[in-house]
Amino acid sequence: MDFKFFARKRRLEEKIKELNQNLDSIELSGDLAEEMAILEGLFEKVDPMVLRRIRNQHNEKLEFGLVYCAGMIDNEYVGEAIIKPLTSSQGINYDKNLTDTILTQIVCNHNGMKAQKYSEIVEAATYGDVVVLIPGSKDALIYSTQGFPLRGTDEPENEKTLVGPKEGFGESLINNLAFLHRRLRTNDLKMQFRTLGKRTRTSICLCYLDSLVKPDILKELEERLAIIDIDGILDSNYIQEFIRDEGYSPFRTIGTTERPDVVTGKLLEGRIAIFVDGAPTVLTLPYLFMENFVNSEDYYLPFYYATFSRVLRICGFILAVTVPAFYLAVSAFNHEMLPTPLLISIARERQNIPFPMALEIFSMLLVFDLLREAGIRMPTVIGSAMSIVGGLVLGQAAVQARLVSSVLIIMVALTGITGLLVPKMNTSILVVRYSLLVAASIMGLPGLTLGIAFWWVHLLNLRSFGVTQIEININMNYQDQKDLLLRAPLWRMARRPRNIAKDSVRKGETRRQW
Amino acid sequence: MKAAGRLILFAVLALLLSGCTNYLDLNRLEIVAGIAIDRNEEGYNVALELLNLTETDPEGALAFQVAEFSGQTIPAAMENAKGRLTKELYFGNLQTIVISRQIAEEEGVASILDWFMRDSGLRETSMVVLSTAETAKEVLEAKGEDMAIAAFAIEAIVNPPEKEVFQVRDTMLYRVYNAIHIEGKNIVLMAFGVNGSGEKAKDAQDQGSGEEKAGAETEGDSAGQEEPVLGVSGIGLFNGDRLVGFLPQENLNALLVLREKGMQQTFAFPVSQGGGYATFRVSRIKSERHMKETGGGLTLCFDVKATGLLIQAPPGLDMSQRDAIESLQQDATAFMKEYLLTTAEYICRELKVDAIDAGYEVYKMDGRLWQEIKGDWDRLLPQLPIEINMELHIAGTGAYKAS
Repeated sequence: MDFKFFARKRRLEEKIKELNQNLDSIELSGDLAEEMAILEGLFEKVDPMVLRRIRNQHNEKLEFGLVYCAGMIDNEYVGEAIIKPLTSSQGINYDKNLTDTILTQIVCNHNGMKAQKYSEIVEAATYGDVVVLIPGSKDALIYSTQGFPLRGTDEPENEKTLVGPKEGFGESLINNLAFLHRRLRTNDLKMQFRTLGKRTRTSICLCYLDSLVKPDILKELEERLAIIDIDGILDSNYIQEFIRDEGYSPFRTIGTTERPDVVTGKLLEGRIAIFVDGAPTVLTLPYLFMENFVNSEDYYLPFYYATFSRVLRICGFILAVTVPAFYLAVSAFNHEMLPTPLLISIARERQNIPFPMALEIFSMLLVFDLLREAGIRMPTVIGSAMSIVGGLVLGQAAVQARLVSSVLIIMVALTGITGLLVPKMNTSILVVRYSLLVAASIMGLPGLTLGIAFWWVHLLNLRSFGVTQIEININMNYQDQKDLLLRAPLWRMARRPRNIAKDSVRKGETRRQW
Repeated sequence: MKAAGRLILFAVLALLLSGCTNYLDLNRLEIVAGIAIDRNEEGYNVALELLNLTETDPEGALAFQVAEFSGQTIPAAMENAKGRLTKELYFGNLQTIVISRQIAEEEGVASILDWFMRDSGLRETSMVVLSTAETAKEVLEAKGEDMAIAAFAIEAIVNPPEKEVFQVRDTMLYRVYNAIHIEGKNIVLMAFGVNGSGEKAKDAQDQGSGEEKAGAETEGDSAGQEEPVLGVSGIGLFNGDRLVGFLPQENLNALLVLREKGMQQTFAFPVSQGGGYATFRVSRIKSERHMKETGGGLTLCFDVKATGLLIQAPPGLDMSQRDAIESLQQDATAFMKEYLLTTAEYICRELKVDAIDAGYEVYKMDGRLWQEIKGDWDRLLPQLPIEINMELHIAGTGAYKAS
């Protein structure tokens, strides 16, 4: 008996393995127990997937298998229109026409259809359909029962795009997973639930594509999650701070997004997403430095424009962190760096200003940050009034009162605007900008150079789950550069990021023939 | 903790290494745009052109003032300035250094330039020019025709953004300094005068320098103006670091071709077929200088290859005929060859100045020979045969219709 059980189990495992490799060609066998076992194997670690058996009340020997994905279906409809007829209808007999009888007489859905292959079942189940497995039949029945949220929440405020999907995650974990499942109709998408927080018992879900994710990264993540010992998880940032590399670094080592399309894109590159119940922000990892400058819109716009935008963002970051420090260094220490007409212009503006230049810059940057912070927390209507008061009245008045120079107002405005180009880096910009300013106010240009060198070395040493954030590779090739500074045409992106995905081939061998 | 320790160490080292010692706010700077150096009985007068950042002149331009300080040496004069000025003198954006003709002639410019090069606060790309006015200070006090501040006006004339005439390559402080210290090389510096100071320029011309026309032109152009106006008054020729004379205006273009190798200049030449004059502008020119051994002696050769764009042809010349174009080209080539040769011989034989760096060519060819003859070079130079090999192509003739 034992021997037979293990032999049967091994046979099933082999069949599941074979199915995973060649899902399209394998058909149902007609043995309900075997079919259910195979599907359980296929959907292993896909916890939202429900596989259950139901019996007819009037014929207890008549047992059906149901396969569907929780959160993706309309529960009420499935209960009333599928489960109830199957369980309570009289006169259903176990015969060779059972499938047709059910399809035409018992469960009359507007688009019920037969399916013979496992691939059809997997696709249907992961897209919110209910699959009915019928004993003794090599046909399964698929009923369209989608009930997933089509537009759960509005577009995220901090990730707005002009083109492309406008959906954003909400606070419901199951609904958020449905957003993802709707985009990835494959059993390769694995979703593993966990519970964190001693008192909050918050559900989190690890999502990844099994054929792409690197096992060592997944293992590292699981180990780091295992050591989280806290009473409550209220947002994804709680997890981020616990598991990130270089806890004191102002640079991100884990990505965040509220957009389902972004998460889908990351998973397709072999990354792992962490969903947290109650939080619309999803964590993605590993995270590369260049991801700070990548916007989901880059892939929805022509690549020329996307490349231009990306270069602008990089320039914006550089300007945002260096402009105040550079201005201070050349204006208060290394005047000879300035062309004479510019020196004269700045010097004329500086006449009769009572404060030292360093103090003037620090104070104006602080004022800008005060206004920005106040503007974020205020209602939109008051926020615009605040902008007028801050930008026009305060700035103009300060210049006219000879408290600050107008050149500095331009510098602060430039710094502020360029900083807004890269919202993902607001923390990094804040820390790096002020640290460079301190270095420049002590040593001038040498200080600025040292400061930049310090942060550059830090960035080169920064890792995200074992993956270097900035990789300096002498043997650069096109595929490594295709989505960094430039955004190459999608048909030229043949490979995934080298250090992240297990399977680096993204695109088939087909070539453009026209 | 380890990282925090490193950070503190970094901050402490930064403070210890710098200590904010170089901090100098812009509103504490006295920006010096130009320096003029004159000799007096006891030492030097140093005039500084200081920018007045708080005021503008009636025309809205930036105001300036010229302050003069004296001392036994130039650094001493600068020290005296500190006691009279409330702000710190700032030479980092110094545009122009004007050296008086008297100093250049009597004691040379090497020691003055040496001091400027040693001072780390000075910009080494400042322009060095000569003054043919009574004093160098007069040049700084004058105005440019279209620019009030003299130092800026001189810098704009000497170092124009376009390649035009009056562009002597070695006018920046560090280049002049380097040229003085290269074996066999001699510097040339542009000279500036002021209307009303023509007497001095004429004196220079009387000594065989040929400055008369340049000085007179400057004087004439600005006649009737109330305020003194500065202008180019010639090119000063040096032997070593000492001024020995000035080059006449008509030879300026030739000297620039022979020395500076590539300038966009305009030349008018007589046309043999039908008479009259034609004009062409050099669009590309390459002048290579070398020393050639001929029959036991040396000959200084210039291989000049140029392309000129015809911008004016004499009336009556039929440009549709090939022979007319060839004749025009021959005339232009002959003119240029004669012009360059005459100038080179004038400089070497009459002015007896090695302004075309013949000695440097000897030094490059045979360093030992140069060491042997350099003491006698002033005597040998006038006897040096000069050869001009000219290749000139006149382009743009097709644009003219047959008359």
